[in-house]
Amino acid sequence: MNSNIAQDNLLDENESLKVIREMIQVSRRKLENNGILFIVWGWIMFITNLKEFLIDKLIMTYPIHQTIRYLIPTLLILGIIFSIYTAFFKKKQTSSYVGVSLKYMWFSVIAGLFLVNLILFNQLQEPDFTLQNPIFMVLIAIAVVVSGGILRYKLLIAGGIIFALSALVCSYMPLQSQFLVEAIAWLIAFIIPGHMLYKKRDK
Amino acid sequence: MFKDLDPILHSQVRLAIMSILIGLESAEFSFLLENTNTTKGNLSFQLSRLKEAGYIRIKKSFRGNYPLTTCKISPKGITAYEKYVQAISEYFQNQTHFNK
Repeated sequence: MNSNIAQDNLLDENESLKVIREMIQVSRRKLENNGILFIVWGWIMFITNLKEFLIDKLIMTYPIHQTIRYLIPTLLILGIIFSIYTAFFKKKQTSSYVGVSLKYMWFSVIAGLFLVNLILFNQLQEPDFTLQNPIFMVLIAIAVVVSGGILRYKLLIAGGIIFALSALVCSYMPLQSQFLVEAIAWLIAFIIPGHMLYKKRDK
Repeated sequence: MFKDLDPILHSQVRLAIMSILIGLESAEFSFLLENTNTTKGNLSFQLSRLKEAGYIRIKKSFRGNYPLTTCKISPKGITAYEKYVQAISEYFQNQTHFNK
């Protein structure tokens, strides 16, 4: 006990300020997002949209066609499993308000996507992907811009704005062309900022 | 004159713990140990002092078979920390004033 008290160093005002500054830096480093979920979902959705755009344009053998057909659902399932693991089960030494805010916001948006899907189906009585795609993109764009704001990361904010504008562009296009625009939008709003965040991560 | 500094916070390790916790929702014992440059025993002792003062909340649980201690700053701790930072800022402002 005495040795513990001996280590209870009293500080002068300059030392106090130094401790405050150094430790606040420690917490700040923990607030940074490593961007891994942006990378994972960016690539999954980029491949999915590109596949939808190219599938009828390319002539391919039956085994390749089947492989691609099963590849997309497999990627989506793996992405969902990885996201749930990262959000709820991955061992983390700290929990930050930024992380909690992002988690709530993204799960709300995902729930919103399901609801919009149901509402559209109830109103139209059949799936209308030409309409659904741009609406989904707007919701995702909002989440990307808010994430950029929370993380103070301008590239992500810019990516989100481009994603929203791409949604508007898509609304003028037939479904097949929408997939190409959407693939490019995922590249700009998720893959590029995600990789930049990953490069800057706290190692 | 500048205000008396809170004696609970005016120690290197306790101030370091509070400065980390102020920016986070919660932090594990191992994280605090890595970043406060102290020993396990001393960290436990300083955490108990902060808990006794009502500045932090400590949750003991298990991860797998291992004990897990998680610390979180309390509203009383946030107020005390803000007052401490305010007192330090005033001290430096007064110093600048006297040096002029």
